[in-house]
Amino acid sequence: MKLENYHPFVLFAYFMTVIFTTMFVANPIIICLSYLGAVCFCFYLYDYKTMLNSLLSSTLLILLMTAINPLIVHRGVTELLFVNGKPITLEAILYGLFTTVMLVSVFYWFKAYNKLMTSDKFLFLFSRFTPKIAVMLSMSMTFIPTLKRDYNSIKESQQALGIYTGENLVDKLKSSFRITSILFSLAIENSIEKAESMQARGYNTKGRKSFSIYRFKVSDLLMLIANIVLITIVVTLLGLNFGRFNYYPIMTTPTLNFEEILLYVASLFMYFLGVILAIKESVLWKISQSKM
Amino acid sequence: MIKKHAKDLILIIVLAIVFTIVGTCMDIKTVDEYYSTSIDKVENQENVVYFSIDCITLRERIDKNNDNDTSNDKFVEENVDKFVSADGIILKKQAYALKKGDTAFSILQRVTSHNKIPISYQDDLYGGVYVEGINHIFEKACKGTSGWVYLVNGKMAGTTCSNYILKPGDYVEWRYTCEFGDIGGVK
Repeated sequence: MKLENYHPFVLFAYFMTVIFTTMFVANPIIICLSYLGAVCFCFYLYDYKTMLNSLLSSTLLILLMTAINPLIVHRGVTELLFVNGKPITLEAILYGLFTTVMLVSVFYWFKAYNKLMTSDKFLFLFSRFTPKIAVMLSMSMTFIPTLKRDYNSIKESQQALGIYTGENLVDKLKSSFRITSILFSLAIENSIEKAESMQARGYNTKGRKSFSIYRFKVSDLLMLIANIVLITIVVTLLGLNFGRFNYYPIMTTPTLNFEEILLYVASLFMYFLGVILAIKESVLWKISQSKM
Repeated sequence: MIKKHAKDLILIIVLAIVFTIVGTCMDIKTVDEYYSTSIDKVENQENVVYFSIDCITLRERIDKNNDNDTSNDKFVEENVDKFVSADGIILKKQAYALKKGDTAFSILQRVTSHNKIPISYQDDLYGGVYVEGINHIFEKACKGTSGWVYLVNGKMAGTTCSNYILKPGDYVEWRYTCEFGDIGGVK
């Protein structure tokens, strides 16, 4: 079974584990595994064109932050250059690099999350316990994708009206500023309207249940157990100071003893779970096709 | 064609000017160049200042931690102890030639770059300089109010180091404080 076909609870638990472990770990190996896993999974979920575009912009962000961090932070023992009497150190460069890779991989995990955890799945999970927060969270999760879609539609209508000029860079920038200001007023209006329309449709009134087709099956339970086992291994080993990494002032040289190999293998499986399931599924499909 | 892209051209020119201004403001040196600062020999015994750097307070705290002294405030940042020598002294008291207009900061910069001791500092908002770290020992290594301070003739000067102009015969000490009151005679 593919990851997207599992019960919303299993999906939500999986995304929370990958996102939170990525956010709180400084170890570059785990960060790189998370980044690769997230990017591969997004390549599977989205088409190549959007992925290549977003990879380009995220790589630019990584390069920019890698360049900025050593200009601000002067810690670290390996000095490479002196600018205005202040050292540019290798440690600061690598710290900037890996923190931004971490940031970008969290961004890609949320990209995958948005594709798989649709707002009806999210509301199915949380509307019974915390109706208001559930709506708010689901709205904020889809905030950026909605903004992007609205941006394009405003741009197209402006182009059709002939207001948008894209002849040179300065005019393009001016036009996009105008679109952004329209976009924000639209977003504020939408958020009020959405809340009102939810109320008008009787969201969270007494005795009203929402329709759902999700049932918790045995395969869901197995998946959840696998997820819990993986996260327990990773968190316990990290808690026992394995895979601990310091950047300043001396960088830790990564060691490879049994526990650390276990840690990296467990996090490899954790971050590549969606990709592994997708590959397994397509292989099974090919086999059953050839049997036909 | 040219008219169409006139605005682009202006943008490119402005960007180029900005980059050249930033580029000329930057003074890039290699590591060897930076550390090859020469120091004037002491010729006139009257026109000298005495200078030293130490982190004895930090050494004492690490020693107490190693002896499992429970009365001690424990926290010392990881890896900092690698840069603290056995007696806690980074640079012994020595006489250096005083140049005209030397401040407590300029003497620190000159002496440390001559002795290949890395320092890290930031220009603060009030036209002064804040020294964050010397010899990879940074502020807040013992949490809270720990950091580098300077004393002139055994007293805290009460002004930023880059504004304190030295007189001949002054003794400048850069010392590490782990908590308020452990140096400078203030209790």
